[in-house]
Amino acid sequence: MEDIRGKVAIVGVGHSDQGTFPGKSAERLSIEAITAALADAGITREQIDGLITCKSIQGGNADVSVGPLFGMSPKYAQTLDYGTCNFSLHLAVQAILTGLAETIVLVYGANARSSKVNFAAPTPSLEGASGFVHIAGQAGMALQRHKALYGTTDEEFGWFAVSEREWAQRNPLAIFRDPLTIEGYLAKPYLVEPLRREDVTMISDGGVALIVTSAERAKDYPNKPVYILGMAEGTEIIGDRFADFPSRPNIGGTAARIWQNTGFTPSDIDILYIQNPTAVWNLQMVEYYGFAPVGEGGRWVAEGHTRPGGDMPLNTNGGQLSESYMWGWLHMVEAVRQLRGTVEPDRQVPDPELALYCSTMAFFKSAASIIGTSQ
Amino acid sequence: MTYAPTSNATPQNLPDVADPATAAFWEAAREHRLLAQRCDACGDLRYPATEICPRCWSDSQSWVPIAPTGELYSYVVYHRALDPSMKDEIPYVVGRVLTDDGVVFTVRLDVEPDEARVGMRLVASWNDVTDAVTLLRFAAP
Ligand SMILES: [Zn+2]
Repeated sequence: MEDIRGKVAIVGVGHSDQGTFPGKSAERLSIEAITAALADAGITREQIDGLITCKSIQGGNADVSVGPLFGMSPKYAQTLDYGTCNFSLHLAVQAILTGLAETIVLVYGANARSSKVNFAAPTPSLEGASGFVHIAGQAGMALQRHKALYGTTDEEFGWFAVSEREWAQRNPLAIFRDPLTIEGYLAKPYLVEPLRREDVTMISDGGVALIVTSAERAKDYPNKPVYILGMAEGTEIIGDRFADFPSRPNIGGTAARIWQNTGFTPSDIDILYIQNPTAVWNLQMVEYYGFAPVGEGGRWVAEGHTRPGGDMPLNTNGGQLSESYMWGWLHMVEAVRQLRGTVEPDRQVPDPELALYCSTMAFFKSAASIIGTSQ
Repeated sequence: MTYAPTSNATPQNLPDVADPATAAFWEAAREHRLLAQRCDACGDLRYPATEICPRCWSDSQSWVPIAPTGELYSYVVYHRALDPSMKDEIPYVVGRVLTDDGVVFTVRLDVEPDEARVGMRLVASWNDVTDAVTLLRFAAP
């Protein structure tokens, strides 16, 4: 792979409020996020020549529907279905390095909460008629299998949700900030056993944007640039044709490639971000990326590594379990702010230099980016 | 917790059993026989059906009987009706079943939640929902 290390940087981040905003479209929320990201970068929209949008779950927020509100036609525009910030960022890096655009804004907007989207509508199929609905179903399959193979317990697994809540309590933007102890977690009822409500993201409305440009230009921006040091992707687009599909083995390939592409190892990473519609994503990715041995992710998280003060801070924003729904986009915003050293003091990790952000497009694709403070 | 295998439950989201691409599967299901789609060219065995073979791209395929037995790869128990149409059925168990011929089905289990075990042996059971629709399930042998 072409060495992309340090050639592109994130120079602006921004977001709308997070919550329920009836009457605001995904596109409008995207513009609110872009407005905040432009202000953070200290530029105006006239300096943007690329726009990469990420579709909302209902299909809105394409580049051609954000464009009329953006009010400009940049020379480069593109849309990804489920960018999770990672796929979108990788596309931006490619566009900048090939000269398609110089300064790109990436944006996600969603109003699935106020639109009351049904995430559990059965498909007219054998599975749907069997009541196999919602992402918690297939995620629960993966966890139940993990418990059977490796002896992972609810008390161990619950620490993903509990430690994210501990971080969220230090994040004013987070929607879920009530205290959650492991005892409190275990006392909650199952939603789709072995998953509890606390293991599954709650839908919220909002928008998130990033501004990305070449490392050369980045030096003229007011914020400390955060450089993209490596990226990798993988897929399982062949679909559900083999028994082990719920465990998402494609992530293992992406993990191998990000370490190989960059020469970094898990012990080099100061802060870790995992996009997580369910806590099963945390479990799978801490193992695939090598922070815990395969089968040991539950015992590892129960040792406290990911909590405030731990040696591998994970989802310091509160993640999708406690902060908000934003498909991982706010994970990247948080990573950038942590690397700049500008989050609230009780949440700031001391002098982080390298962050890993891992995400997936459901069971079909995976992506990883390593970002850092020096080229 | 009492859990009655819901053999008389009526799911409200029934598949289209008249779809020519899958009608043979549902016709056999009405007779409590399990079929899968097999590629005539390379033997690829699969469910659900695909328009062409993903392995060799042949568009010639047949529905063939497969062993109605297998093992439980994993399972979940729905304690909440995430879709309102399921409200009369909770709690219910859905299993990911790896049949002995290698075809995977994700369907309802006629197994008590506390008796389900990853790796347990299973045999097809059948739920006659309507005159036209019989749904595949699995139960302990
Ligand atoms: Zn074939």
